[in-house]
Amino acid sequence: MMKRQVMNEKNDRLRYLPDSVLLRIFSFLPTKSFLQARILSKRWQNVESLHEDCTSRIHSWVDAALNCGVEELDLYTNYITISFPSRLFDCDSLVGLKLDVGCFIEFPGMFCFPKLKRMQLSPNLVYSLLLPELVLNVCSWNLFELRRQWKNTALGLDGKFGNYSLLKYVYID
Amino acid sequence: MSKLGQAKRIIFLKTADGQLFEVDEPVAMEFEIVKSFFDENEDAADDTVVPLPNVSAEPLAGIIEFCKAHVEFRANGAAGKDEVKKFNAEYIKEKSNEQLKELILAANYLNIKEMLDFLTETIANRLKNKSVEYVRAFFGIENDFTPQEEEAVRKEYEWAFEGVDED
Repeated sequence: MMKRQVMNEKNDRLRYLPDSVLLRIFSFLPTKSFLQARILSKRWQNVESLHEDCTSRIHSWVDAALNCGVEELDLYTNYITISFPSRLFDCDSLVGLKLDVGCFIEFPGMFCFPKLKRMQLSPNLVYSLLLPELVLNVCSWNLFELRRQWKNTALGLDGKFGNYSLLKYVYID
Repeated sequence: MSKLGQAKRIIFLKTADGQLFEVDEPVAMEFEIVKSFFDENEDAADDTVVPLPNVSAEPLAGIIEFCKAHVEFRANGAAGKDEVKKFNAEYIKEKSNEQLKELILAANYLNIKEMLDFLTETIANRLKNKSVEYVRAFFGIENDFTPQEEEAVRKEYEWAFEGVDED
């Protein structure tokens, strides 16, 4: 009985860890575990909203790259939810875009990368993106790479690629 | 310029459970809280004892061991090399979850960046593939959903709850 009490006290103390530390821990976990975090408690339900700080850093970084007329953008981050400055989506210098990020990306409803040829998306990236919309504007792409976990989301693909004659490689793992 | 004859400064730290630790200055300065104590009290006497009311002796001893090794790694230019990874793996191997929790609480209070980075990743590794109940118990998170609310959230992310390990 005593022991149990001591244990509980210890666990209670863990609540004093700041959000930033807890989020750090969860950011190392695979997508699945992160989604599970949403049912830990109500506080965790909107866990990714605690991420605003990192989003603003990514914004300024991407903005700086766009200002330089970037052609290849590779973005790797452990963070779970990110959004991009809206001007990324009609950026007319971008030729290759590779995103290896957490699981949620906020894409605008419509987008068009006028010069984009290669789009590569990471295994974790699921859910927030409706694939048919994504495929809408790929007429100039010649590489579109999707990895793993996409297979559930990607079911709507059948027939969607028929119109895109320049698309040479569609890689679905 | 010889540094011979310049005595190595020792910092005195006193834990919540009353133990006194003597720590080499470069190691103690890894603790942001100790560093800012001396930054703010520039004329503190050499035998000043810094009280650490939120840290007990056991985790502090573990933290000193870690920081001492890492200060040396940096001094030897070994930072980021296999040697460091090996040390970290050995260091964590024998630690129980309870010890890990004590360490992260203490490292957070003392504000030791490198150690926090290491501990957050280590804890994440121990939580991989664990059930929601396990993670709740680990952090002492109270489930404040009604059963209906919890069911609704679970349904929404159904695929994320397949294939978790037995606790």
